[in-house]
Amino acid sequence: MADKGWLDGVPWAIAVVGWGVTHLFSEMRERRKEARSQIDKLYESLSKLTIEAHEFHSAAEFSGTQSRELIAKLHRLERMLSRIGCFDQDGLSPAIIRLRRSITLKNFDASDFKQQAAESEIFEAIDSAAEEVEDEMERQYRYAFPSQFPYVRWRTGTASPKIWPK
Amino acid sequence: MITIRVAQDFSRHPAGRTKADGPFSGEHFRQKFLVPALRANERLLIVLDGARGYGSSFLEEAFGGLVRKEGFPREVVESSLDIQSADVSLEAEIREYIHDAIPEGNAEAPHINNG
Repeated sequence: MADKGWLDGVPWAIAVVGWGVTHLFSEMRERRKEARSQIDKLYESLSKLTIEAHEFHSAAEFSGTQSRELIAKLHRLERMLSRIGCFDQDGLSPAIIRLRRSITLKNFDASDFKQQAAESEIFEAIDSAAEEVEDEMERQYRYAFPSQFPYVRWRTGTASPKIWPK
Repeated sequence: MITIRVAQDFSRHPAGRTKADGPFSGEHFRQKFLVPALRANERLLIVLDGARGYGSSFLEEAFGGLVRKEGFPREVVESSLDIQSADVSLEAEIREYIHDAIPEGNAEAPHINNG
């Protein structure tokens, strides 16, 4: 009798475990879709930022308004990146630093501004830094949500080492 | 320790490298806040939060300029500054400018009050 009672509970246990597993994978799929959607929005922001940075450096005259807007947009981009839960900020920082530098270190102030020709190294640096941010976002997304079963990384660590001290 | 909140004590829109670039430039920030504190051998906590972003030219001039133009030893600057920011890349970038700065020929070693 006792054995039969134990066996009666098995279907219930299977149902509960099955529900739990289904719920878990459904939750993970939603998180992956949400992260993908946020990353796609970031691509758009990054693309607009890159275009505006090109416009700023290729303008005939220095624009204080545009320079302030570029700084604010870089700041906003980093804040948006920090809100994506699957991203490791330490891993993204070198790419963010390179992007900020490519736009705002040289030829960014009234005292040293010169209109840049199309073949300027500044444009090359901006495009290259923007690509690096995209690549790092994609790398971290694929790290957090691998394309193979179980489609999510059960992790406690981070995708990247600390950036400072080196 | 002296705490400097950039947004409240200086500007929410710090921008520009030299004083010729505007009233809230990196050069101005360095000379107004950083140099006097380092000369007095004070530790500094720089709170970057609250401003609407920082350009690299501002950061390089303000912090890298301590070694490059003011002649402070790199180790003194590195050990005297604590940086607080929600944007993790800002501290790393500032520390790189300090670390990579090379004193310019005319930068004299400043007098540091050792108590």
